[in-house]
Amino acid sequence: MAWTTWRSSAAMNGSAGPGAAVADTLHPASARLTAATSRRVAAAGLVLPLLVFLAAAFYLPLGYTLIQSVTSAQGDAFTLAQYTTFLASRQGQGVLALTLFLSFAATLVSLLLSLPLALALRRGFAGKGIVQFLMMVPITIPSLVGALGLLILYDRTGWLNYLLVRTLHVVSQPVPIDYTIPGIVLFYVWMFFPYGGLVIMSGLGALDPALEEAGRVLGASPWRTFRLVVLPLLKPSLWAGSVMVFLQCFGAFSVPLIAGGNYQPLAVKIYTVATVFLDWHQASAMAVIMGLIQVALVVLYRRLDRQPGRRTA
Amino acid sequence: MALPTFGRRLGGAALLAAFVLFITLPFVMVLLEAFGSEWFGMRLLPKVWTLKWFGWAAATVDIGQVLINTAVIAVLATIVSLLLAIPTAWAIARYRLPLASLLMGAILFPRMIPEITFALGVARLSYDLGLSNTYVGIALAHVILAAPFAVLVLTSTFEGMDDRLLEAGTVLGCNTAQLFRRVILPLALPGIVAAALFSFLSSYNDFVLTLMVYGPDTVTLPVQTYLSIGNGYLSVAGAISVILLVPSFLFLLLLMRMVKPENLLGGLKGA
Amino acid sequence: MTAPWLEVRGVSKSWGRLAALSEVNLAVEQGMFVSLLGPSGCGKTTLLRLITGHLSPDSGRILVDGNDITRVPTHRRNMGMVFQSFALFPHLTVADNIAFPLAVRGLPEAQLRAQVAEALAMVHLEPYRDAYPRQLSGGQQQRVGLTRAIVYRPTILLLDEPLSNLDAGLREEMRMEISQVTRRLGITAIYVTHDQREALALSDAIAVMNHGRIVQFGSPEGIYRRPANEFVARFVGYANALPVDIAAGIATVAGVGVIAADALRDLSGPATLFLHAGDVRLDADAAPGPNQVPCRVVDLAFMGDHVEYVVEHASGLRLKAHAPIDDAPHARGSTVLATLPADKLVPVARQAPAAIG
Repeated sequence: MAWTTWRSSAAMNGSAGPGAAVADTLHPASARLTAATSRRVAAAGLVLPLLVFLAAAFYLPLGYTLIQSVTSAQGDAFTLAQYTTFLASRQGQGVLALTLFLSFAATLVSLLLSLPLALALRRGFAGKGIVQFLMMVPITIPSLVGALGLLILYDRTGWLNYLLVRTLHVVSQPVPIDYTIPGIVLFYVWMFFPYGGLVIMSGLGALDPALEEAGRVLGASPWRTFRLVVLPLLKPSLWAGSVMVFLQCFGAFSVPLIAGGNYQPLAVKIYTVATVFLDWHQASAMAVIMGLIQVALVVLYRRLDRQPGRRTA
Repeated sequence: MALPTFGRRLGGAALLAAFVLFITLPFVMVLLEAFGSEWFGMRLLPKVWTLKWFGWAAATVDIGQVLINTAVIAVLATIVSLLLAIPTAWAIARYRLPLASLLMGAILFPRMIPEITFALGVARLSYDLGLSNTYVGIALAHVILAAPFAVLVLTSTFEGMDDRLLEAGTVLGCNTAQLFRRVILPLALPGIVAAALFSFLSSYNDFVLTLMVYGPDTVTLPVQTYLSIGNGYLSVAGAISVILLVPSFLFLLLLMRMVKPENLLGGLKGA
Repeated sequence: MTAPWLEVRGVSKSWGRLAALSEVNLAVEQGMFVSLLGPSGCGKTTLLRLITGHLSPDSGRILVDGNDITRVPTHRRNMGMVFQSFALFPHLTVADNIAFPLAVRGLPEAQLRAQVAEALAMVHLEPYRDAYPRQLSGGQQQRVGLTRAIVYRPTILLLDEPLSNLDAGLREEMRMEISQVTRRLGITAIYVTHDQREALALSDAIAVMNHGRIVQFGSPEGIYRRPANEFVARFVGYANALPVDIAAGIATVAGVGVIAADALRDLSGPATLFLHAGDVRLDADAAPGPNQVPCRVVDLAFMGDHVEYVVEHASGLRLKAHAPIDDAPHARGSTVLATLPADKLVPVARQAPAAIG
């Protein structure tokens, strides 16, 4: 790491080595210590502006939200009523259940889409570059635009229904997709599957191809090699990728805001409670709950993204 | 072989086509909506092709001003983010700081939790400070998300800088200022440009935070898109979306050149 | 002569316009240890992977015991393979790694366990049976790799530079182990390497490869003593190459003098004379005679078991010579007489560069 060089020069100034006796006469001990510490102080100074900014612009509001969540409009100094109202009420539990369900469903479908995709990309095929490019699209465009396009595409009068009704004649009436639960899940998948896909691709890339060759030579058919060698080694990436997608789905805001219809998952609900019902205390409590769940998921992701079988060559 | 090769090829091509369509069709829809008129009922294509929605956008929602707002805020956010991120990344990369991972965690935390969680507090703070509905206020809100990502990019850049080049610089006679200008800056430029691009895009595309702190004078493109959709003017929303998309696509193209897709995960979160 | 156990007939493989292998033919008898020797990119690894089935040839056939296995998928070829990177399954213990091929073949549990135990005992790795590969040293991992490759008694064992990732000291040990194991089991072995010393030490026959072709196939001694062309000679370690013109059994080294040797009798025209550094003798004072070149000592280096000299003739010709460490050293700048023994010279007709192999 880069800091070692600088560190060793700091050590040169500070520690007792063979040249210490000489150093002593040139730089008395007190001066040497100051040299090392002043470097540290300078470093701390460089980091300060950003930290101060974040403290004021981010952590302060967070704290404020936290406080708001345990105080009430009625003037209570400390109350957990906002939390209990949300967690105990049918409505609150409904919102959590909806958010969790949407997230689980979308994560599962994303996984079913991402894994074969990653495997195919690894093997290589004509058009591989296009696929890799397209995988990046949903996560780099503003999700509002994506949501808009999806709404139009899967509308009752949209192209998909045109295909089903007018071209293939598999149904007589248009299939409702927009604003339905399956529709929202579909939109989530479109938006967020690359998060999982990229993690899985990274995991696959780190897999030593010699391991698969070994499996084959030792007598395992391609399918068995996949099941016995690749899959076990890929599991951490599969889990990490799933958590990543779940994280995004859980925190989704713009997509359900525009395309959720009557369904309001957690992020949207918080927004509504704050800006429509103007109950910032309740909204704050919900925001805290949401934040805690997300942090737990991030910690989980960090734990999972460690994989054996990395390439040596 | 279970399937004859031709059947496999055909199946593969069909899957590829399906995937391409799956990803790209929504954009096609946005384009059709933005450039077409009289597209009702179950029609494949609009009856009429037109640019009038862009005109409408200009006239009814003053899209020119919105564009200016978005751009100005993004530039402000980028500048502030870089000013904050460069010294921070330098310190982290080149010095052994105490509690370095805790520090990094504290800096990256805003990108880990959903925007709505702290948007409430930011909105309140912004209001209290009189920064609501101001360029500065919104730009600073964007910095909360942009600066950490810039720190991530720049830390990696500075860590990758070869110490020996700096040593060579000092041996050859550079003082600190000269070293910075003649050695460090040129070496770090690609990283700084990347950080700037990320910051700009992050601000340009931001929705949730902006939604909470904007006002009538500071409507940005994403917010306007939302408002137009909400009011039912899908075509105008489409037109605005097209304008919104341009930087994103440019950025994506640049990105594909610079980075391997698998390495992108650190901190990438859409609006 | 017995029919070859493993035969490669007219095999070619290209990657786009790059021909990795061109019309390669190889016949290996049962129980033989054959090395594929050559520099990077010569096609030796490609040939190996065609034999295992990881790659399919564009043309040609591969036969084992007379059966055409060209279309047989890898997992049914019943061959063993040892990898440069060991390729032990990191998620399985040592015992499970060794058991893998047996489990895949559906061996009953009890028998499987017995065979694994026996295999572990043979290589003295029982204490590690429940350890994971990452807990083992490189040498131990490779031994597990070797054990895993032969536990199901394949008839052909393929080794892809198995010693490259091992420390120098271990290489010697591992090399001997490979030799013993293959000999004991009577396995036919194909060994890929770029190290000519490994190839010379281990093999019954060596196939020297370059640019996708086998340029010489023969016993180690044959290859070492009678390289077929310049490439093989240089690859096998001849340190001295003298450009000469041969006429009537006499080779003329431009500006230097004349060399006579029986080996030159049937050749004529431009050629290169190869000579090992160890065969060149240096004498401080001696009257010049046939096959002797007066030189000045340019450099000398103590190599541990010998001293390596670089000597130069007035014409600019440089020679490398090894001398025993007990001999009186020749100082830098001193004059010596280099003797080129007639019976150690290896002549190779000089061909146009493109036509080698």
